[in-house]
Amino acid sequence: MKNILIIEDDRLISSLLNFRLKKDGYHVTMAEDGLSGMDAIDASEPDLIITDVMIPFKTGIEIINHAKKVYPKVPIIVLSSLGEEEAIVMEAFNLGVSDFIPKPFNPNELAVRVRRLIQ
Amino acid sequence: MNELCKRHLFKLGPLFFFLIFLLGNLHAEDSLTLQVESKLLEVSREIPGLSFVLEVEEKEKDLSIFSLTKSAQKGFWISDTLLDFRSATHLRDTVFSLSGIKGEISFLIFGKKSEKEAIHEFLDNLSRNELLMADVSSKSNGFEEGELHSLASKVNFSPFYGLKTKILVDTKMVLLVSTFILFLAASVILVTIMYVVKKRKKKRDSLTMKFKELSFEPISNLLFEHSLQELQSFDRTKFESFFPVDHLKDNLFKDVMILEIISLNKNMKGEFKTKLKTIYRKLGLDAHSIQKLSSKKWDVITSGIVEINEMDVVEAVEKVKKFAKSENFYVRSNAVATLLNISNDPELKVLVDQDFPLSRWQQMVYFRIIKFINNSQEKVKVDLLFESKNESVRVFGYKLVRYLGLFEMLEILVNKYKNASILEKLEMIKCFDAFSFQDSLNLLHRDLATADKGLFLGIVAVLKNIGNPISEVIMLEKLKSDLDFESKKAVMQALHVLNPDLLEEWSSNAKDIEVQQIFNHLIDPVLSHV
Repeated sequence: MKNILIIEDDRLISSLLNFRLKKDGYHVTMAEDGLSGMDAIDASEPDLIITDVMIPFKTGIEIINHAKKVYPKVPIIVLSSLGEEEAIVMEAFNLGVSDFIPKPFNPNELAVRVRRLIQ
Repeated sequence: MNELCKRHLFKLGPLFFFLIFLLGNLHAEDSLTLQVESKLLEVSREIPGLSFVLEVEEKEKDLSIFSLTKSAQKGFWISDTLLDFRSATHLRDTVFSLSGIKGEISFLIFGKKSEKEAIHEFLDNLSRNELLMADVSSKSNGFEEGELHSLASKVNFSPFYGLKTKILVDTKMVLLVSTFILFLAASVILVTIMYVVKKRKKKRDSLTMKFKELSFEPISNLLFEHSLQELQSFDRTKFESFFPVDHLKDNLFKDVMILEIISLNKNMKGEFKTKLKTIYRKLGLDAHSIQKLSSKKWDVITSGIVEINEMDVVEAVEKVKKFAKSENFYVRSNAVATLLNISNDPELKVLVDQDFPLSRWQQMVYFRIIKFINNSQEKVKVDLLFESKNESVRVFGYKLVRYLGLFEMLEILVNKYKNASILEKLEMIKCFDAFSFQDSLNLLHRDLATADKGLFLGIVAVLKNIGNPISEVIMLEKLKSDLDFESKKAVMQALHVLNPDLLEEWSSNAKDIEVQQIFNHLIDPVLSHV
């Protein structure tokens, strides 16, 4: 079973994604802030990471940096309401992020992108 | 004769006053002696620090039988030091009755002979400090003196025994004590209230967390396990079967559910938005939001209005209208925003009828909604805002012309310009500038004569961008008049953009030093942008 790590401070969204991705047969690990997110990256060996840009204690960019150092080939999807912040998007892509989904988003669309990236 | 009398009177006058003074003095001295002696007689016991000596002046008789000793001073007999005044008076009286010689009692304070004034003061001090109390010599309350003494001897000595009574008699002390008690009581009440409020908040927070946890799964289930058609076909009972039955009637649970649904509604798009609204309505949460409008608390009303706005509860429009003119800023702002959003009124009547001035924050919020309506629904009739009695609404209308690119409204602005206020004119000229509206030039030229500096500078800034040769001539004429430095600089900057040669020619002939300095500044490639 593929393991997906969701780093998102909004419990409702992470729970919703957890529900949606479990429905597709994935094992989901959730972290609510940057520090626990980094620990989860080290501990859970994820096959895909979904992270928010604005999270407590660490920025999404720091999370991406850390994930790329530990697992360079793991695909990362950035989920953020900062769709208009071009600089952050560009920095994330330069670090090797696979996809960027701005909020508001369609969970089904996200599920499709996850499936495509994991395959 | 009269003259002689007068002279005698003048001589005898001072003598007369001196005699009166002496008599008065003697009387005062006698009175003092009497006071001291009567006070000492009141106290039959010894007074610490005070002692007495009897002095008798007798040169012939031998008074040693009265235990008097011959003094070193010739002709004086003195007694031993007596600690009790009664003993001293008793000795004096005995000597007098048996020998016919009256002795004098001398007073000693701590062994030092003192005058009566000093003794009087000493006794006064003792009395003030409640160290000298008159003896109860007579029978009182059925007790004999001896009985009272024996009873008193059983009570520990307490010089401040009168403190309790004194506190109650002293008004200031009563006030002080009352204030202290009041402060203490207020502190206790305040701490209790804080404790109760904090406990309630803690309980509410923990319940909110619990309800959030409880709502995640049912909402996810409804969103991902059922299609929109299925959700729309479900009745309320079916919806309620997804949620914990015990909490569905709890207002806090309803509030948590509404907040979660609104939060998801903001983060989701597509079919999910419709699904969320269906869940909201089928669970009867719309009625809960409408119910909040009946509250007396402004924050509850505001949250109800916000929920109605977010979830597009169109049927609540009439109820929300009541709050569009509320005195409370937050209630009013949210009510107007909600009505703009859900009332489907392209005439923006709710804005036209606003009595309160619109703040910049309100204008920003309303602009976002109007822009959305203008782009996605019907075109809004911004020109109706120009007819509002509220100046800030009219100004907001002119701003909308600029922000929404409504250049077809410029003709209306030109017609309104003449009778507009300074604030309106400032907004109108920004519109003329934004659309480079040359037809407004005549108005602008005419208004260059304005006494309002802000408007003058605004017009010059617009002319810099859209001015024509007539503008150049008028501005040059203005330069010749008595302008202040800032206005002069603005006009020269405008002329420098419109016709640099004309400005150079005029400046070279100008005698005004400021004009020369500004011109040099403008043509300097380094300073021209500073």
